Amino acid sequence: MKNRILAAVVLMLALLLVLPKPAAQSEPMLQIPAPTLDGINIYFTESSGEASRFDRGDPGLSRFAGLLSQLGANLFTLEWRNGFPTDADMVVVAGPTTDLTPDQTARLWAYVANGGHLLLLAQPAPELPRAVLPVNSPLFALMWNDLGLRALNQIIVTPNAEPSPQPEFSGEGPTPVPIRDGLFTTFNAASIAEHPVTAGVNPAGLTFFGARPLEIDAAIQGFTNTPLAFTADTYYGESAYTEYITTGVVDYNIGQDTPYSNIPVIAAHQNDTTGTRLLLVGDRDIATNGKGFNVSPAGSAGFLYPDNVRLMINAVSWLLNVPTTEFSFPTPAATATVTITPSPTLSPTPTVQATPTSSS
Amino acid sequence: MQVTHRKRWRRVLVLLLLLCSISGTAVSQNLQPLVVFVEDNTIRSASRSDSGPDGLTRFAEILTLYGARVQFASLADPLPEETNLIVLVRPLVPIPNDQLGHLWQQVERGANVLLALDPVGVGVNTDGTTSGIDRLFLQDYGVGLLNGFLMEPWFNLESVSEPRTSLSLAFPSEMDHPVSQPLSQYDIPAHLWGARPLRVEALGVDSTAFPLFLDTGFAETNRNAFNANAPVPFNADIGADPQGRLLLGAVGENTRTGTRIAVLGDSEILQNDFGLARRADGDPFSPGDQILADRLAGWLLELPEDQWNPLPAGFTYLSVDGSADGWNTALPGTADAPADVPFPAYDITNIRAVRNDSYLYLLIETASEPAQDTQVSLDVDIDQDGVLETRILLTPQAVLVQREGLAQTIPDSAFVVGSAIEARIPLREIGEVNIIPSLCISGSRETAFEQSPDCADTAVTVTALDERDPAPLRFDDTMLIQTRTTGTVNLRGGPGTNFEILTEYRNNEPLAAYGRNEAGTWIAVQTASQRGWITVDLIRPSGDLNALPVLAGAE
Repeated sequence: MKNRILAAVVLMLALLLVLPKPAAQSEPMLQIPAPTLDGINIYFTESSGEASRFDRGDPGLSRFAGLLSQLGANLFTLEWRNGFPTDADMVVVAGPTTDLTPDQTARLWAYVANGGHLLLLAQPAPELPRAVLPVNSPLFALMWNDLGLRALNQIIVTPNAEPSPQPEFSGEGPTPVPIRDGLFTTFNAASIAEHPVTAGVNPAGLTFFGARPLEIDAAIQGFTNTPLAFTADTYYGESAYTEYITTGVVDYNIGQDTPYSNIPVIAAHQNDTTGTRLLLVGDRDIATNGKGFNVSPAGSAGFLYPDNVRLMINAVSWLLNVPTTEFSFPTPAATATVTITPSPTLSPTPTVQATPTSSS
Repeated sequence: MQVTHRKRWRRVLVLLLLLCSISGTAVSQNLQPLVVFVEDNTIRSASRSDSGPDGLTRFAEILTLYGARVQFASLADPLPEETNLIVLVRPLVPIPNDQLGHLWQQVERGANVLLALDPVGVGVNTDGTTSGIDRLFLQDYGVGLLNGFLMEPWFNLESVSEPRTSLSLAFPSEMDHPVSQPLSQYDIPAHLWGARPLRVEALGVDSTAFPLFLDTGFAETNRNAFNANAPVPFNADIGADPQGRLLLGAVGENTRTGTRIAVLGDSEILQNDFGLARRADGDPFSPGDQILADRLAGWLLELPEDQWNPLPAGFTYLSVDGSADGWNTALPGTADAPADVPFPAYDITNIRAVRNDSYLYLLIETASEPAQDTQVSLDVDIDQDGVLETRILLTPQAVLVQREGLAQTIPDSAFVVGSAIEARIPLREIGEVNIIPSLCISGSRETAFEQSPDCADTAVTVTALDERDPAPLRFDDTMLIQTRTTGTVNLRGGPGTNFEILTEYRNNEPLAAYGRNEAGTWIAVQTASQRGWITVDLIRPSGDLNALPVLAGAE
């Protein structure tokens, strides 16, 4: 019996020597977790002025793309001339600044409607000389008709001050409302819906830098449309933002502008029959290096808007239907703050012309 | 009790049989390919339920006969997921880009496409080069759209304003494809009414493309030429207008998706009263178009070739390829004594001759393979007055008719020397003869070796077939007109009602115009079988008739 006990003890000691030692508990936590997008092929479009995954400058997507790459995804630029890739697990269209050509739209649509996964960041059209991907563009026409989802030709704003007292004005037509100090276009989400894309995201930290309102038909259909992030109800959708930039005069038009409300800025479309998943964000800067993926200090991985990063990674995971990734963000802590853009220097300051009086 | 059980079992059995038959019907319906005709007010495309002249009921019938389910849909919404073939014929405006998305969505699901697209012209503004559909088709199938309206030398603004007066003939391309193979084999043209050129890239990364038929000329790309208010003259602009051999129909296959497309540069090919028009007896007016439609439908539905419609009955299908293949050996031949000349290659052993309503076909076999320089001469007595007044001389360079000391080439004839000697001679030149009294063959060696020609020992018997020729018009450089009548039009022996009636035509008969009288009131026309005069009041001219030459003796 003693021999048996001795043998057992010896065996246990031997096992202790042979088995590997556990990792030291005091090692720091990995900032980039183990790859969860291994073997996933993600294609970025670039031929229509989209934010580029190669661009390390402020307008670029290099940080977003870098994260995806770290997670194991294979990243490609979509070469339209080769036809649509057959191995695409997901396509990212990051804020085109020119319209997609008809054949590109048709190819993209065939991919999406036949069970594809699309992340579409829509550049606010009014910031440009002409509307890009306007609400009646073929892509949004198809999305609205078939999916009940589109981005409007507006930009979400809120006045930063009460309108100036009305000057004396007499004459025909609508009365312009001068805005003294400009409009807010940067804002944090006021609320978010419960969804895998918004899991762990703090709305107060989710920051937009000039966004388009979305129009969503969330009625019961053969698919699900879910608005995910909303503005505060002090915001409205301005249709004539370019005019405001030019003249400094803004006019909230009932019936034309999206009224003051909790305006949706992100929406998810899911069709379990076809397998289609689409995430539409009304702001491409949510993920650009200089805005939503800005870091401090420069060159570090200290994201200023960690909730933007978390949302984008969640979005990719949801679109691909893979488990999402848990991140820890190093210092500095989130410092998401609302900044005011633009701050137009009104030169000359537009003023309402007084009614001409009789001159001598 | 037992009886009740039996009854129950019977009921169960009947119910099962019923269910089986219902499910069987459903299964067989699902196995039928679904063809969707794109019909939409936005693009004003032709309709599969329109039995009028521009409609597609006849083409839809072909598809139905092949066992397809046929329905219509708009591209404003996604097409039915089970769609196998999308048919889009004659959109009069560019396809809206969002609608293109729906079309492509179904293509990526595996649907084939048939697109028949007219050129930009009077009242028509269709997609062209660099349009969405062009880029998609060119990239994935190697078939693209070129801009321009196929111009025949005699076209004018008035004629191109109306499909009926812009008739052209397009001949099959040399590249053999199952769809156009009979056209190529039997030299049958397709009839087109205002066509656009296409671009065909035969070999792509994952595609193959084949041209189906072509015409030679240029395509007018200047839109102002079609502006009725201030037209500019039609003019071949080097560098701007496609010129030369213009491909007007093509098919393409994508090996990645396994899908097929067919693009026709003219929509009338498939329309009821144009390409698929029928004569009073039911025969097609344009066998070439009918064959194309039949075979395109079969190919696009991916049916085995042996299940495609046979070639239209009642027509003579003889290929002039220098081979005895295709000849009915049961027909009587005229044997010739062997070894009556020193060279076997020029030694006639057997002659066969048949004629249908338009042509005389001739097969001459020799003791050994005939020499490539073989010439054949025939002498016939057309007016049966006992004098052999007409000689037909067939040489490798040209086929000539000699009459009254004058020699003229016969453009729509054919002469090929292969393993045998074959020829096709229009009846308007050789007449509806039943015998060829004299037929001889010789070669250019005759000069060197003083070789006598070998002539048939006896008159050659011509067998008259009660058949039509699939191509009574094989002219590609003559103004084509069509008759316009509610009854019949007389073809007369001269420019006036006092001349004899040679034959009569019904409405829309295509004819080749080659001259006029001084006053321009009578037009000289010809087909393979006839040559005569027709009053200008009963034709649809496809150009300026005053440009036709005034024929001598027709003042």
